[in-house]
Amino acid sequence: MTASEFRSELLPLSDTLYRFAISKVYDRELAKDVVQEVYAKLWTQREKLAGVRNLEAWCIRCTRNLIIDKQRASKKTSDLEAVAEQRADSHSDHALLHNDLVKQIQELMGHLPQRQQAVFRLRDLMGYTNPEIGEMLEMDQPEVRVNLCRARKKIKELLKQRIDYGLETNCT
Amino acid sequence: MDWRPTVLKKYWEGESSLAEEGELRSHTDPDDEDAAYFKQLRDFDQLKLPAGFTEELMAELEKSEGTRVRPLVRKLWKYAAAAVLFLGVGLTVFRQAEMVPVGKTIVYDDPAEALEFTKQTLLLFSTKMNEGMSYTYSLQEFDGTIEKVRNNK
Repeated sequence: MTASEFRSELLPLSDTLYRFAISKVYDRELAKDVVQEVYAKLWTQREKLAGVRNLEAWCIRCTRNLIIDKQRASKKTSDLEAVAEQRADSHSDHALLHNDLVKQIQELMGHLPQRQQAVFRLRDLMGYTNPEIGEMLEMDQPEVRVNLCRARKKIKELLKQRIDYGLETNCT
Repeated sequence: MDWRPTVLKKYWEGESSLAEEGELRSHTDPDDEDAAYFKQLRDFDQLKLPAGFTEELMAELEKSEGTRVRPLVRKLWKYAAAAVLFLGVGLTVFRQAEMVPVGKTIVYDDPAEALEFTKQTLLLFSTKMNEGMSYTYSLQEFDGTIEKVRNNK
């Protein structure tokens, strides 16, 4: 893959990778760092990318693997969360509003089992089709649908509880 | 928005299409009990990297290209060494193939050339033969000396 192909085929995916990273690390700055690292890796391996069938899925997989490596390196996810909290203090109002959204999503997602989280993330936060999700997570279609259905209902219920009990944040 | 209840039902059953889900997000009724849910998703869709991020990133990546020269040169050296080795082995094999194996018939079209080759071969043969004979004479002398020593005992 040439530099111009890299620009035209991979750079447009940056916001998608960013949102995916946010939905995993729940911090905008960390997500930005992750995206930067993913692109640096892809750049050094760009000659091998010519044979990749689905570049977007490949990039998502790279992002996920990098986040897993980072989490392993820092032993616990809570280390990443601590950095996120620290950074939130120094942000603008606009950024804080977004951080509230991210934090709320983090809390809601935290109530879901891993598979439901993964399906909800890919479908409702990233906009992938069920067959694509099935391929990425190695699930059959009925399993994807069931996990998605349960995740949506659970999140709706949690949001309703928040509103009923007045726990609503700036974002709602 | 008559379509909304039907699509909502499909949505909660996990059977709606991406296009229908897009419609649900963009046409939220504020009084709807699902309004907060879809607003959350819509807000998430709007999260974007800061402006100019990709341009800065590409500039950095292209700048870092220089650091890749060293591994590339190392890789090229590897290929060069392999090529030299391959040429060396190839040349040796080729030269060995050029040498005439024992028992192989050589045919010359030009009789003069054939005669010259025969002369050279015979000369070589005679030289080697003489060399061999001298060793034989030495051995005969050695055997004779040993015999004399035994007889004297």
